Amino acid sequence: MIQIVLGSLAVLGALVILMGAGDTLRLPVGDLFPLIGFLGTGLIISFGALLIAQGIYSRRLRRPHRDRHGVRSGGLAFASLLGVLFLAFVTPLLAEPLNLIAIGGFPAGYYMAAQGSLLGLVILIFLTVLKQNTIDAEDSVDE
Amino acid sequence: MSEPRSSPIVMGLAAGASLMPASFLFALIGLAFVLGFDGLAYGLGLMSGTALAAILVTPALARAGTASIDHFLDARFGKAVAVLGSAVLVIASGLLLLAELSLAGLVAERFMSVGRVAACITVAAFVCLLALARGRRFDTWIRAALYAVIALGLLVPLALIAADTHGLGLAHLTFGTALGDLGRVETKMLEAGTADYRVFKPHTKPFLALDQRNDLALIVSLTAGGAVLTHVLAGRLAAGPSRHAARLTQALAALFAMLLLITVPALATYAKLVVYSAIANGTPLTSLPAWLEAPSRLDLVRVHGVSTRLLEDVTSAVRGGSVDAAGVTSALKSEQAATLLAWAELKPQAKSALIEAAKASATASGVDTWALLQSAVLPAAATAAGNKTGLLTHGALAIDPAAIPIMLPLLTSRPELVAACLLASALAAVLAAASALAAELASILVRDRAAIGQSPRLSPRHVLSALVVSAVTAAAILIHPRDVVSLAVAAFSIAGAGLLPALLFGLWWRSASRWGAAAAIAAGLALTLYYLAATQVTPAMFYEAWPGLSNASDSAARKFASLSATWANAAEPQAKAQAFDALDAFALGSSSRPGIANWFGIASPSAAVFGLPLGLLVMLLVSLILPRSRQAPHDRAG
Repeated sequence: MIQIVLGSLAVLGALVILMGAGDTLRLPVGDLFPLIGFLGTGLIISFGALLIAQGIYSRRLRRPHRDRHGVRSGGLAFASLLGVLFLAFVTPLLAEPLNLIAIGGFPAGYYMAAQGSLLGLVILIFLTVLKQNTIDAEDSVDE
Repeated sequence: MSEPRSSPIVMGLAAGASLMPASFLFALIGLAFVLGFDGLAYGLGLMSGTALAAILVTPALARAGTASIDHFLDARFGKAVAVLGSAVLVIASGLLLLAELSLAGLVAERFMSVGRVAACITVAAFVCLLALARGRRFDTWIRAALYAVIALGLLVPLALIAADTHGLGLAHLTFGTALGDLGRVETKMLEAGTADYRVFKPHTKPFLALDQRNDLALIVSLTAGGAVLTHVLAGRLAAGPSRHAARLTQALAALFAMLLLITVPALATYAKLVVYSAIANGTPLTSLPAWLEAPSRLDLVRVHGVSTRLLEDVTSAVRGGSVDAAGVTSALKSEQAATLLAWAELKPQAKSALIEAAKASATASGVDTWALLQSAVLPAAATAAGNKTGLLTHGALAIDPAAIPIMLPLLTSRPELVAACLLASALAAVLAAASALAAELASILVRDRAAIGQSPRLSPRHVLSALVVSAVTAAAILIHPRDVVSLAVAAFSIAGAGLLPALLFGLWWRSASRWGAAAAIAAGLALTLYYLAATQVTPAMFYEAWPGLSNASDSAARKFASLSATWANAAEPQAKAQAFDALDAFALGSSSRPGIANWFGIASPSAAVFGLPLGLLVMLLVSLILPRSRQAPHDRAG
């Protein structure tokens, strides 16, 4: 429950900052916006959304549920989906600032698109498979 | 299971061989070279599609107890939705198969100078054989062997070219050094004036060839399509003996496919380093490097707008009696539409130099046109373009992505070996992906519900897969598409936008109803097909229908309006048709000038970026309005 409240607060706060920046609200928080920027606001919103999702997930798990295994598998799939979206969609968009950093001679933005994200996706697949196997074993789902 | 299963590693290798369609894998070498960072979007999109399939689709399909996508749609939503979904799968995999077979023809034509038609038919015969063997135990081993050929065919050239430039080492890790060297060579070119800083595109700088929006649209389309087509390309992965084995096989297949994908950017970087070094070190236009000869003969590389192929075409026009520029234009118009564009863009001095050289070569026999081009045509073309140094410059060199695999062998110290490797790799990739596509297409068409491998020795599926391959081969020979990458991306767009909403909601949302699924498939498919077709076939009409959504600049919009007025005012039917052609051509754009028939500037093949959100929305809304009835007979899966 606490996560849902905190997450909603974070999302609300970010929205207030955005509205202040857009002069829809006459609030002093508008001055905060240049400091945080679109990227920062996006980060706060996604952080809040993650907290809410986590809260909902743990609430559903705690309830005496007929399909505990289904809820856990769904939660795992959702978390992995977020990983895929981050690696495939967010890292290429951040390539320009990432390129300022170098990893072993590679500009980091180029490295991520050429190897890093692909490697990360495969690792993510293996982690998901292992975790799913554990979930299956714990909930004793027979093959 | 009727046949014993191989180990997950062998099955993973077999699936990994066909997971990356050859039309992408082979074209990626050129795209990562020419587009730099932006070419990497193709590999990233394919990989994230595979990941999405492994995480969201395969395990859930296995949980629902179904072997394939059309089977699942039938069990979850009923027969009507399954038929709709099968139609999407058939269109998408048919287009992809067309791209694969066309690629085989192009590769054979360019690498071995074998006739395209003969090559297509030969490859198609092998594809048929492999498609017939699909599901047998030895089929897995053949595919694992094909993977080895594909991988070695890419790794050996990489190891050779890396050893030539940087000594021995694991090229995947050390190509960071090559990137650094490439950056220094790029700076050297800019400082020496052999590259123009106003148009130069540094290799690692993002969003110069594709803008941010198109880059993302491409990744989204490939991800959505990959999530669906993985099951078509890699066989019925969910049909393994156990869920654990199915998941492990899929993960291993993704690992092996990833190893292929990360080889390509390294190969492209080393190749670019060699090419740019030649420019930076000052190569005179009169003695061009040998690696330009073969692509110049195919008109895939132009230096100051001219190529050996163009010289040859002008020569045959001169032999046909043309004496001046106007005569050559009309001769080319009837003979060679491709070189006509190159000819039209030339300056008058370059044209007259070409005609003089053509006259010399038309009268003599056994003239080396490549040498003639350098000695007689290039100096005049360079002067016409304002190049006073007489050196090869970055701006003078126009490279088509398809030229890179042809150039690559001569950039290394062992040309024959590298050429053989690349050829073997490309053909093996075509065989693996095309046979998988053909077998799956036939299974969908005969509504074969069994896991592949359980069907009897000779079934309608086998006959049909032979028929499918023959039909698509005929199409590949007749249509002869050259831009196989766009074709393959379009196939992914159709599959993703058409099926992903119904598939994901069906697998993960209990309330998803059959009405929602049917509406989502229809809406996603319709919008995607509309954007794909209308922007390519009737671009002028598309722009007139949606002028507000186009990214056309003010000047482009005015130009279109004036062309449109010319068309409206033309009196004679012939002039009207000509004006309409000009209007269409302007709206479509060309490789050098972006078109205006688009929504928000999104390239036509990435149409899934519109179809997918629409499909998801329709699925959600219609399922909420017309919910699934609890007594539905199809309530067991999901």
